[in-house]
Amino acid sequence: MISQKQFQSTLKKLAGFEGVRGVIITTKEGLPISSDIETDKTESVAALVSSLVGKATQAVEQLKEGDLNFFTIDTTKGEILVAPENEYILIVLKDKKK
Amino acid sequence: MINVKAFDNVLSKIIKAEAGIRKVILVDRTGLTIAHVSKFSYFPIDVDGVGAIASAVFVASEEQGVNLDLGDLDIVSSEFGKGKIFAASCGKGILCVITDNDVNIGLVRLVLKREASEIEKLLNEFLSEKIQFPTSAAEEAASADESMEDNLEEALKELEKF
Amino acid sequence: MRKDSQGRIHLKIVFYGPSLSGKTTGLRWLYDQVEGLTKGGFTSIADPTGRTLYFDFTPFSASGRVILDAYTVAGQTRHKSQRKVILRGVDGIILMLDSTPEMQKYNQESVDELKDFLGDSFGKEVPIVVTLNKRDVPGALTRPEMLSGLGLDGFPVYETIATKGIGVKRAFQSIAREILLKQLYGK
Repeated sequence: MISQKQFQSTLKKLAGFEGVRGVIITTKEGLPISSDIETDKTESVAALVSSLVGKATQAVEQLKEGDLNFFTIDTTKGEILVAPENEYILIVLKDKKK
Repeated sequence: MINVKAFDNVLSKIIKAEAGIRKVILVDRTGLTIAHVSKFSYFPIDVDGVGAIASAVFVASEEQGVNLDLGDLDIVSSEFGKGKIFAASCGKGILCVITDNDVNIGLVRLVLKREASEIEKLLNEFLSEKIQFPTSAAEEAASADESMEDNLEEALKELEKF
Repeated sequence: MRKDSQGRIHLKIVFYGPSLSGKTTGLRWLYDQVEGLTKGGFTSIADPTGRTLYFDFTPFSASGRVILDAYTVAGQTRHKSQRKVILRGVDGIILMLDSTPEMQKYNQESVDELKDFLGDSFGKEVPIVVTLNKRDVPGALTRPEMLSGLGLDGFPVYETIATKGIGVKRAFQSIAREILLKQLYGK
C-alpha cells in the first residue's frame, strides 16, 4: 500500500506542473478526501465529476468497450483531467495551454 | 397563501437531482412533517413517524453540538446496510433525503446545500401565515362569537365521540 | 399549533412524567383501543425491554383537518436533553404522575423539571392536565397527598389506571379541549 508520504509527494508533483490549478482526490461516492483548492469548489468538483464518472463507467460497460481508464473535459478555461482508479478518482484542473 | 405546489416543486427538483434519491421529507424542529415527495408512489412508509424521528435525531445532534461547542449543524448523515439518510438544516426546517446505498453522496450534499436557502425562504413565508381553522364557521367566527362557539363545539364533539 | 403544506392544523400533546409512570402505556392504550379518531402509525424509540429511550409518537385525527400529534417523553433522569427536544412546540401536556408512595419524590422532580423547561408558559400558554396514574397499586397515595406541594392547583386532575385504560381517554379529551379553548379564545 502506498504511504501517506509517497501519496502527498505525488500530489505535489502533479500540482507543480505548468497550468495546474487544482488536484483533487475523491471517492466514487463524491466525497473529497484530498484537495489543494478551496472547500466549496472542491465539494462541487468532487460531486459533479464523480457523478460523470458513474455515467461514463455505465456507458463504457454497455458499449462493451472494456473498462474506463481516463477522460478529459476540454473547456474554454482549460481542461479537467479525470482518472478513476478502483474506489477513487483523481481530478486535475488545468488552465489552457498558452 | 403559499400554494401547496410550491413545496412539491422544490422537493421534486431535489428528488430528480440524483437517481438514488427515493424520498424527500421536509420537517420542522418540533417533529411535524410539513411536506414530502417520493420517487415511487408505492414506497410504503409511515411518513409522519419517519418525519418525527428525522426531526428528533437532527435536533438531538444540534443539542450535542451546543454541548460540545461545535457551532451550527449543517448535515447529519446516516449510513445503513441498504440505504442512507441525509438531513440538512434549512432555516426553521430540516430537509431529509432517503437514498439507495450507491448514491453519490457528494452530489446529494451539494443539492441539499443548494436548495436549502430556497426552502428556508419558502418556509419563513409559510410559517408566518396566520393559521385559520379550516371550516367556514371559523371565518364567520371572527365577527360572531356564537358561531365561534359552534365551531369549537363541533371540534370538541369530534373529540368526545371516540 | 402548526400547519402542514396540506393546510391541516397540528396540535402537539406531550405525555410528561417520571420514569415508569405509565406514559407509553397510556398512549399505547389510546392507540390500540380508541375508535372514532383516525390514527396514524405508532412510532417508538425504545430499548429492547420496551422502555422509552427517546419518545413515542402517534398522530390522531379529530376531523381530518385537525390532527393531534401525541408524544411521550423518556422518563429516566438521564434523558433530560431528549425531553427538552420533545417539548419543542408543545401545545399541551398530560402530566402523568405515579401513585406509588415511593415514587412521590420522582413526581416532584419531574414537575420541577417541567416547570423549569416551560418557564412562564407552564399552565398558561401551555395548558396542563394532571393524571394520577396507577390508582390500583397497594397503598396508593391519596389525591391530596400526591398533589400537595406540587404547585398544580387549578389544573384538571384525573385518576387513571393506564394498563386498563381507565381515565386515559378522558384525560386526553380534556387536554385537547384545553388546547382548543386556548387556541380559539386565548383563555
